[in-house]
Amino acid sequence: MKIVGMRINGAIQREAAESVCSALMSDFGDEELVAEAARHSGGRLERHYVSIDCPPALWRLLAETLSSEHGADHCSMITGIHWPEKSPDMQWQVIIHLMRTTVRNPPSKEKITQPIAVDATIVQGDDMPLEFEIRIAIPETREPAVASVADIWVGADWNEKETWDLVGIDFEGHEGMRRVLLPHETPAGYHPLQKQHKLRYHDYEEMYDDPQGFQRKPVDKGRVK
Amino acid sequence: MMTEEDPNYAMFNSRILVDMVGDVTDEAMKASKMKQIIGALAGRFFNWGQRKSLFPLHLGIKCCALEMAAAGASRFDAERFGVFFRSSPRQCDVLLVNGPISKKFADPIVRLWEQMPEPKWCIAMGECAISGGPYFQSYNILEGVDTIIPVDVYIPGCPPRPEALIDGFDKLRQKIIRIGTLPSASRATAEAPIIVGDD
Repeated sequence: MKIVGMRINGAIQREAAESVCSALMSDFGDEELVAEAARHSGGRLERHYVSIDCPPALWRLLAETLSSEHGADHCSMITGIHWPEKSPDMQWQVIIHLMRTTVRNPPSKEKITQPIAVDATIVQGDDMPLEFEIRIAIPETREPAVASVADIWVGADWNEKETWDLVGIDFEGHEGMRRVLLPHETPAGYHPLQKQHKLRYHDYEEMYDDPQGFQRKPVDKGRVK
Repeated sequence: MMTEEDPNYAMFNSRILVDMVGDVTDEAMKASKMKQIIGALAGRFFNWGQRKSLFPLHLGIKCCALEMAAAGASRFDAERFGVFFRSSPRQCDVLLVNGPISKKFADPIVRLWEQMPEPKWCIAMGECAISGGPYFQSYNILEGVDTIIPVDVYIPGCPPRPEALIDGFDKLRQKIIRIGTLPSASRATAEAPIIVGDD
């Protein structure tokens, strides 16, 4: 069994994804949740993932279910999008990526974690590493908010802070929400990734019409460009 | 602390002693023109020493830092020019800014600049440090490091090749020959900044 370069069987991954989807649909199907197994387009390897569309009120329960029953143990990304053109149905969207790494209780010898070598071609079912993508559509509102999952996954903590910092989507129950990318003293209403904030850029006409004003710095005083 | 109230009984600490001896020696040397002689003889030697051993700060901000690392690695080898990266700003004479400066980082980088002892120079490497680059006029990036720090040499490129960085150090060496060791505060008005690739 070679350690490096083993590939997961794509068909078995698809089966694992579909079984997760059917479990979720039987649990939450009547509450407007849609879960399907999807395949990453592009690339020559087959990579299947679970694609879930979730209403905002159901997110906390779904997150706990995924964490406890389906073994999603790594929150790799939480991000938010502002869609002014899609209101009133979906003015804000939160996208969460979770991974099921299937590393549980690795053995440790003298406090050093020992590696586990698994034959990747024969894993199936609950041992199959899987990716979950959850999309939450928040309808038109001035104060978008969604439940926080920072106490379930550590990876959610700073991602939620960044989403609030840049997009303005609040996460209820998140302790210590603060600015992470913008300076700490930035006032609370300023969320630069919302679509009404434009990049101030000089059109190229300005550059040719007014060379004395374009990108002038203090050191250019007295200099004719 | 030396007590001024009673000059007959003075408590010296070594710092005051050193300051006093330094002042007295300085006055004596100026009076006897020794300072001018030493300056004439050794000034060129010191200038040679400073420009042949430019120690930049081991500060990497973004992608240009990888080109800085490539310039220090074996193929381009900056160390044969005397350029040796130091980790403490107190031991450096060049601040090589290689990446966009966000508003959060403006304070720390000015602090690093002020911690560097004179004589010191600044090289702005890459478009982000020159003007904000691809992040020009965006919500968190300053439009060039020269809004907060006086820059001597600009190296355009995104990222500039390691050869361009080495040429930037060469242009800085030529500038040091010309301007000697003016304190950086007065250098902004002294001479126009150098842009690599301008000739």
